[in-house]
Amino acid sequence: MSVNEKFGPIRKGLLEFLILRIIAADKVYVADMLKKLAATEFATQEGTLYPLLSRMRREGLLQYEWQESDAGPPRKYYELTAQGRAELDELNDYWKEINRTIQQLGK
Amino acid sequence: MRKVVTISLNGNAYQIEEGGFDALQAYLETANAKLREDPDRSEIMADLEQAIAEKCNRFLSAHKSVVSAEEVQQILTEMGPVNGDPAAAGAQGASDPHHSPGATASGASASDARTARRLYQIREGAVISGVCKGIAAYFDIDVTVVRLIFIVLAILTWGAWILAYIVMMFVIPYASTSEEHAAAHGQPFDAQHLIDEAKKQYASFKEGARWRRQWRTEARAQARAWRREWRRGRAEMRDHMRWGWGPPPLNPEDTGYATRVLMGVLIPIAALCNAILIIAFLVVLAQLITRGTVFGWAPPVDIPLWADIAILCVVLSVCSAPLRAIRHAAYYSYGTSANVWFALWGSLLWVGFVIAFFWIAFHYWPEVQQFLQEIADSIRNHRASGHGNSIFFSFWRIKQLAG
Repeated sequence: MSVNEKFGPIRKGLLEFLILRIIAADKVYVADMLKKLAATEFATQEGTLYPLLSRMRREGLLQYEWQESDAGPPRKYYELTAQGRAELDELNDYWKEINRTIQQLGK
Repeated sequence: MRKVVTISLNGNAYQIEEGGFDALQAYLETANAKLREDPDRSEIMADLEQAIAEKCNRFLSAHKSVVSAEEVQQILTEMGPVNGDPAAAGAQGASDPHHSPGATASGASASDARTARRLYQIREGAVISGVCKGIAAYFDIDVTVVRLIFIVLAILTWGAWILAYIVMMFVIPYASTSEEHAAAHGQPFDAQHLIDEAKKQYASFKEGARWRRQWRTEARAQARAWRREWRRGRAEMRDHMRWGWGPPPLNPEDTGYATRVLMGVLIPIAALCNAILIIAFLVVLAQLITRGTVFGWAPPVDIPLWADIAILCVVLSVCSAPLRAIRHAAYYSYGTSANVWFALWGSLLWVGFVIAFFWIAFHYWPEVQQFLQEIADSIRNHRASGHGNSIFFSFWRIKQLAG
């Protein structure tokens, strides 16, 4: 089992966290999210992202609004709700904790 | 020429080639089935359609109004499989968002988790053992290229590469299960991938069926044309007292494209079969003369040697008659100007096969060397006892030259 395979479930779990971070930075459209993720080891595809975004919206973490685009039909732009921001802060803290733990172990 | 289907994606009309339409429909149906449990199914489906529509726009311009089947395939590869939301579907966590087939076009990094590639032999559609097919799948290149490289290597290394091939035949395992086949191509193995593959194969099968149907129609028309020509040719022959083999040749324009392609394929196959027959004939003849037996079987004693040889010649001509018929039909179908060249090419091909066989056999097969040695010895005995014979002499010459 390669390192890549071992971290598969972890990457999967982190995807939601990363999407919260991306959306927090700016109002984004799905193609933008995919483009941002494509350059990283978290590259993903529409087939995965749409169902995930839909669940996050149901949980009240994010919302979208339709915006007209000059190249075609209106697009869904996602933004965080207050609950989403709270969740993101929590996740950021938790992530720092985890990093600290990893750094300290084995020193 | 391909059929085009007009579809509506999330309220916009797009024109898509038929093959692409099938693939797209399969993708959306699978997605719909996967999202069965999802409360936002219809919304997600609309989003997916919208995303596909936008990707289609990328391939369209003022002078290109149809999305090709290949482009649809590319779009669907970029979209990736719809796995449903694991959390929504009861958190089995079975699906891995990074476990998507060929996520290259969307810029997925190399670290994207793909099934490890492994080198296998692929039996399906193999010429000898499937080594070349396996290598082609491993490096994702066309199998013809690999085969050509192998042939060139075999020539450059004076046949040593053939040994390397045999070694590979024994060393590289066969891809026998679906997982192994997937690994041979470096594709992840999952049910969705299998569904896609099945759809693709069905599409190509349909294409093949259409081609076969067309070929059958063409072949029937061809047969009618041949019969007509044959009757006319016979009449002409009677009129002009012209003597010669067969009906007068056709114009190439009268011959269907498919027939010509088929004949082009048949010529080398017939040449190879002919070469095998000739080799078998020569081996049996040599055995009969030197040992008096054919692979250990002694002919009834009362038949003299000349009668054995005569029978052998009759058997050879009977066996090669169908091949001759195929060759003649093939040359004939090419029309007057070309058939001389195709006859020449066919003949050269089988002579080449025979020479290649003997050359390889002589260099890499001790039994053959031993056998020729035996022939040479018996020739010497014959010559010593004053029974010089031209066939024996030529065998002896070959041995002398080679030795």
